[in-house]
Amino acid sequence: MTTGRPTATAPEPAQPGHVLLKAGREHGWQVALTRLHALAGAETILVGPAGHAVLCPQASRTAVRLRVGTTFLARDRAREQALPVPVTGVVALRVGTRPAAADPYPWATVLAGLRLGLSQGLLDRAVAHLGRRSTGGQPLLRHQALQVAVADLVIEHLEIGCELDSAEGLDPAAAADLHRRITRADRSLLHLFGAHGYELDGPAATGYVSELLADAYGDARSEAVPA
Amino acid sequence: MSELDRRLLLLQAEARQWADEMRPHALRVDRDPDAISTLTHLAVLSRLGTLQIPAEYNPRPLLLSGERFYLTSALERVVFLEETAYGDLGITLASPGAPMSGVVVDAMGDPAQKESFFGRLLDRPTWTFFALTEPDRGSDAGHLQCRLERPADGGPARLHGDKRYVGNAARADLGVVFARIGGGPLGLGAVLVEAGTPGYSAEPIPTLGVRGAQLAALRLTGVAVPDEQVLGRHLPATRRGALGWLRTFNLLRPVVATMGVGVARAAYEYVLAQRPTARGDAGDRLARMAHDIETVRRLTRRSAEAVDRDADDGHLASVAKVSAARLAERVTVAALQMLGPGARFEHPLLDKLARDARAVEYMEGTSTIQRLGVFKDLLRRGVPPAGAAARSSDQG
Repeated sequence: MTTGRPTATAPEPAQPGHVLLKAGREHGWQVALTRLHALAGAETILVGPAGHAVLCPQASRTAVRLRVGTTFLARDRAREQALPVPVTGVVALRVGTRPAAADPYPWATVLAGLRLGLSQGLLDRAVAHLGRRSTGGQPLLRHQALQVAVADLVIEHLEIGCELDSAEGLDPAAAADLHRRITRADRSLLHLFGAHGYELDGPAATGYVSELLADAYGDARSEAVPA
Repeated sequence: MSELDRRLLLLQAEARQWADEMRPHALRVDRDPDAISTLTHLAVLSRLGTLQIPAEYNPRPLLLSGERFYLTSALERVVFLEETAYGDLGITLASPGAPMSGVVVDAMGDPAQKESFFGRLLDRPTWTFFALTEPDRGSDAGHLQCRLERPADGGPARLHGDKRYVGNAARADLGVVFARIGGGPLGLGAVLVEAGTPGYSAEPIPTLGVRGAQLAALRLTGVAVPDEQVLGRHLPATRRGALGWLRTFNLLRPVVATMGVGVARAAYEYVLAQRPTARGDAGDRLARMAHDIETVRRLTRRSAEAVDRDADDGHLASVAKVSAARLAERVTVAALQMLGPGARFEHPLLDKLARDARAVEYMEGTSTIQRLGVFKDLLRRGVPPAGAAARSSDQG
């Protein structure tokens, strides 16, 4: 196993919360996931505070290094364990090691931006869905109750976006709070799809992968990590 | 606690034993819904299918210490199914029998239809389906597109249309399909459909949770429906359609609510087992969870009592269903957060509970639909007095 200092693989972002926001919204979780790990380094897997990684199968096949906190390690597949995930196209790993010290790079904030982008993309899809579906002979989008629900989500997204506008990353506690807030918004959003929101070939996969990412990378508070 | 009488305590104790044998198989069925066929030794799969059948058609009720249980009342179902949902919601929903379609057959079937339908359930483990929801229209009964047509050249009527999110449809022998069987507002109806009939196809839909139930998309292309399979032929038109399923849903909503309570309790007890000495903030959060679960349990049981008193009184059932859907999501998410980063990976059962919990929202009408129902009821009956959900026996 080799260790070394992290190389500056990504430019220091002016607003870490914006780095992957657009990718999340416009390209969805597969592309955003690929870019997340690319940000950690070439052929590198980003490892979360409790020693887990969430990535695409392609990255899992080709990655040779782990970014564990401030340290790069050679990837040791013998120590890895692939964990079952109900969503096709995503790999979860327990890598067998975890950061000894927090990475000063604001990953939890970058992730919050990525997740907000996914959430905004879901809202775009929800509005299209409500326009297509009808009840009582009217498109659902004409129903005031649903208009209010959509507006609440727009407001919530804008507030979350403002939190992410800070030039530095959020402190770990604020980032963990923000991730919980995004999860709550996503849960409300998924309700707008009705039962379609439970389909893995539909929005459910996005919501679930977003929650997996929050679980793997969203809470870097040292006291939160289980012993 | 929400007090149960001796009879219901017996039923609860039995259900707890069933639940204990379900839990070890929960993750396997989640990964492979077909594993259900290897688990027919579980009581929930071998016996539940022969319950929830009206007494006059069921010579084999559950006998516990001299008491008979048919699991036909909402309260019996609520007490029993909280436990099996606690054991595993996916396996509970994958059990043979007719928890939903049986209610429609009982409400709208003639004696021969009931004899035949319930007889088949008693003969051998038989899965049934209940097909109401349609793609792009949800459960909007007034605008069903699925239709029963009588060919001009004679022969049996034929069913055409698509249904979606139909539990167990891919493994079922028969079920109930809601369709337009005539013109006008009284033209809604329900028919029995044999799964093997030409023109019937059921394709499983991959879902995030309750994967054991194998929700499916149903395509009906000219499925023959002989007259003896049309439900409610002997009833006046006013009792065939909307009223029949209104009563069905009134009975089933407390059942869905109790499933949410069972899932929430499973998550709560899981965290409690992981953090038995939780103090301070964590201890407070656990205590709050227990309190919330108990509150929604009480509401759910009272909604069941209301439906049992009056089959048309589904007001509390709507309230309980909304509360339980919220509870199940809130408690399972909070439970994961309490176990810290990586909890979804290190505690796969809890991850599964959080996925299953979301199903409660979608069964028997979403929270939006239920809330609109609550509002309509408010207009009809006025603001319920404080304590309206209390049992009359609680009111001194």
